This record gives sequence, structure tokens and C-alpha cells, in this order.
Amino acid sequence: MHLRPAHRAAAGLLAALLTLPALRAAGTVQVRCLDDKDKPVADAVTWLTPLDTTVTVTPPAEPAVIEQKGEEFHPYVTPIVVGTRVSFPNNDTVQHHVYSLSPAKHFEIPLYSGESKEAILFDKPGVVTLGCNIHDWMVAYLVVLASPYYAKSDATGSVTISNLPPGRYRLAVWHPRHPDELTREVTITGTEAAPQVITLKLKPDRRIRRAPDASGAGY
Amino acid sequence: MTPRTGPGRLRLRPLAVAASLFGLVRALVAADASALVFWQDNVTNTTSDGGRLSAWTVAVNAADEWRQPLALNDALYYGGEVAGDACLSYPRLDQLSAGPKLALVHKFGLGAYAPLLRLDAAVAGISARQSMRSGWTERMSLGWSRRFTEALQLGLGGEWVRTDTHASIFSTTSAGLAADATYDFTDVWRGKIHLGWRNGDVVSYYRAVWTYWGWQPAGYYGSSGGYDYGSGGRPVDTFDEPYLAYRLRAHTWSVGAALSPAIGPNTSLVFSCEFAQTENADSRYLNQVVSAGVAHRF
Repeated sequence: MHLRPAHRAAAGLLAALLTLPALRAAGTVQVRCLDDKDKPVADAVTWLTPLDTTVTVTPPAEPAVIEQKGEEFHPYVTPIVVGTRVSFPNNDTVQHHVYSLSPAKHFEIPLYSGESKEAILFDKPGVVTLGCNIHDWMVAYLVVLASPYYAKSDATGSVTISNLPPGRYRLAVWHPRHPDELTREVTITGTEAAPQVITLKLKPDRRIRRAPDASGAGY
Repeated sequence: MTPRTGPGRLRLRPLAVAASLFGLVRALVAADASALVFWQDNVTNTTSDGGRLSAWTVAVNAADEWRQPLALNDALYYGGEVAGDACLSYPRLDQLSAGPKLALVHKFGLGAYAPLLRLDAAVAGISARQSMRSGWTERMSLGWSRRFTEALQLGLGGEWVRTDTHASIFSTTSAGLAADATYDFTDVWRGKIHLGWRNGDVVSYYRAVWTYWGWQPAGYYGSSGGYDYGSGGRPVDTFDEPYLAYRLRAHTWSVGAALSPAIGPNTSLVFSCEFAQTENADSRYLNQVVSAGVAHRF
């Protein structure tokens, strides 16, 4: 069937009008994470949990990666969904012994170099603190979530979570220096809303010191 | 007694030693290295009336070790250590040492807060500027340490050291116990306090005079000085003037403190001081050591 140009334009307009409600229904939440001095907070994990419906998460087919390089974990904070597998390649010239004692996942990978033998499955929501049993200063965090709506704040403290169906949500924010989740309720209407500003009163950044010390010239 | 080395050499020699050791460290990709300058108020280990002398020394140290897992919580460490002392004030005290070391480490559990037990053994050959001080040293130590918080770590240990030198008077054996506490005030500033006790041989020097009967400690006839002269002192030309070296058995209490700011992820400065009192039934002397330096992990 051949349509004249005027008919083709009308059909296109009709299709656009039919799909517009669905597009408008998907909302976006923008969050700005600031500390109590209004400075941006990076590495804050923000997620939304629907309050009126249940949501299912589909873990990615490929494992997430947390690398060991320069005797540090990279990245420092990684949000994942429940059921995600994570591999821990050791790209250092020294061996590492990766472990977690967190209730959400208790595991260890004894001393190894290169690729870890198998990716670890994280099947329970919660915060998993990672460490190296040899290098005490090495630390990183996995935040295992039961929601597909999440993101991590960038250096400007900004978080954008898109494709949210309209409805009420519980917005939660977690940061290594603010281990108690900060929550509030938000409603997604499908229209653009002003960014949510989250102020985090961060604890001091106390980590195990890495730099060595020489024993003094003893008598 | 021969005169001291010229002042020009004094300035260049520790730099040359440090530079060559640093080059060796780089070549070996050593795990840890440190360089310290320290001042001792009593390098002669004697009483004030016995001829106490102070001295400046540069000490450099480099160590590397490799890890071999034995079991989930046990590992064998093997490696080597090179150390050099360049005494700016009395160059005849200069020495270099190098040798292998071995350690067995057991960790009681998993994580940064699990206690650690470490048994160390090391042997090193000593090459001293004065050949009578050259020889071998053997060292064994057992240490326990535990981190209680991100900031606080405690350690307890015991050590046995034996040194065999060409001149028997410098051959010593000692054993001791030590405890230390480390506290990180911030990510940058670390403080450390140390308490130690040691029992064994020490070498003490006493100013000497030439008499009809040979070299005798100055003031021998007027004051005993508390030394067991009957053991026989050995004349040494280590210092600016004649001294007699004695080997004594004594015990030493020491207490020290250090402050160490990190100046990078792998580098820190170290400032420390230590006070020690050594005594036996006949003698007693004090030592103070103040040091400043840098430590780096490659």
C-alpha cells in the first residue's frame, strides 16, 4: 500500500501521540549529595525502592569487576543488584588475599595473583566491606541492592536515576562515611522535578595508614 | 692511635654509602628502605667520668621479602636485608651488613584486627671499617601484634642476638623483651611508644692512659669507675684518643617515643628519641638517642 506524503505525516503524528503517555510516565530522579559544608560528596550510593509495588532485579550476565592495582581496590564503592557475580582480578605484582567478614557476604580468596579463580556471587542485599588480609589498608565497599533503580554519585555529588515508573518510592543514600542509610519518600509523577538535595553529615575518613614507619635507631 | 679521617671525606662518605645502597635497592626492587640520621650522647657506653663521647651516625637499611603461603593462615617469608652505618663523628665505627632472613607468620583469623604471630630468623655478615669488628650476627625474634582499631596497634616481642667478630671482645650475646604501642592520630600523623628490656653483653669504652704496665684506664688508681678491669680491656683506636674496650654483662631498660608523619602513600618521615639505662652490679651508664629519617615502601 502506498501512502501519500500527507497521510504518512498524519500516521507518524498519530504514532507519536500514542507513545507519548508511556514516555511521559517514565520519570527521573536527580539527587545532589552534599556534606554539611555544602561540598559535593562522591561515592554515595543512592537507590529507590517502590513502596506500592514489588520489583524484580535481573543481575547482569557478565560479572562486575573490582580490580586490585597499586595495592588498592578500584573502584572504592560499587553498587550492584542481588545475584550479581563479581570478579577480583589482581593486577599487582604482589599477591592479595581478598576477604569480607560482612553479614551480607562472608568469603575469602586466599593469596593469589592475576585473575581470581571464580567470580563471587552476591545473593543477599546489604553492604559488603572488602579487605586484603595482607595489606590492612586496602578497603572497598560493595552495596548489594534489591532494586534496579540505583546510581553512585560522581565527583560533583550528582546522581541521576532514570526510567522510573510513576509511584511512591523510598529514596535511600549510603556512603562509607555515613553507614546509616539516610532515607526519604519521593513520588515520581513523570514530570520533571527539582533535584533532591541530600545532606550527609560524614564521619571522619579514618582508614588504616598505609605509609610505613622505620623503627628508630635504637640504642 | 691514627688521626681521624679528613672532614671532606666525612661529608661525602655517608652520601656515597646512601647513594650506592639506594642504587642496590632500586636494582633489587626492595620492599622497604629507610635512611636515618641519629645522634647518640654516649657512643662509648660509659659514665661521664669514663670518657663519654657523643656521635652522629647515618644509618641506611633496605629489605626485601617474598611470601610463600603454607596454609590459609600461615605464610613463609624469605628475603634479605642490607644495612649500613656511617658514623660521621668516628668513621672507624662504620660498618655494612648483609644477609638472608626468614620468617614464619601465623594470623589468628581473618582481617585487619586478627592477631599476628611472627617468628623471624636472620643471619648477616658484617664488614666493618675496623676489621676487628667484622664478623657475623645471628638474630631470632618472636613477635605478637594486634590492631585494636584503625588507629591503635599493640606489639609484644622477644629477641635473641649473637654477634661473632674477629676480636672476641666485640663478640656479644643478648636477649630482650619489648612492647610497643602505635597510634595514628590522623591518616598522616602516627605516634609510637616503646618499652624494652635487654640482658646480655655490652661493649663499654673507657679513656686510657699509657703506664709502665701498658694501657690502663684513666683514673684507675683513683676511682674504680665500677668496671671489671680484671676482664682485660683491649686498646682501640676508634676514637680521637686512646680508649680501652671492655665487654660487660649488664641489663638495659629503655623507653622511647616516635612521631611519624606520612608524606605520601608509601613514604613517611620518622622522628624518634630513646633513653636507656644499662647497669650491672658494678657499673651503670645512660644513653640517649635522637633520630630523624625517612622510610619508604617500594
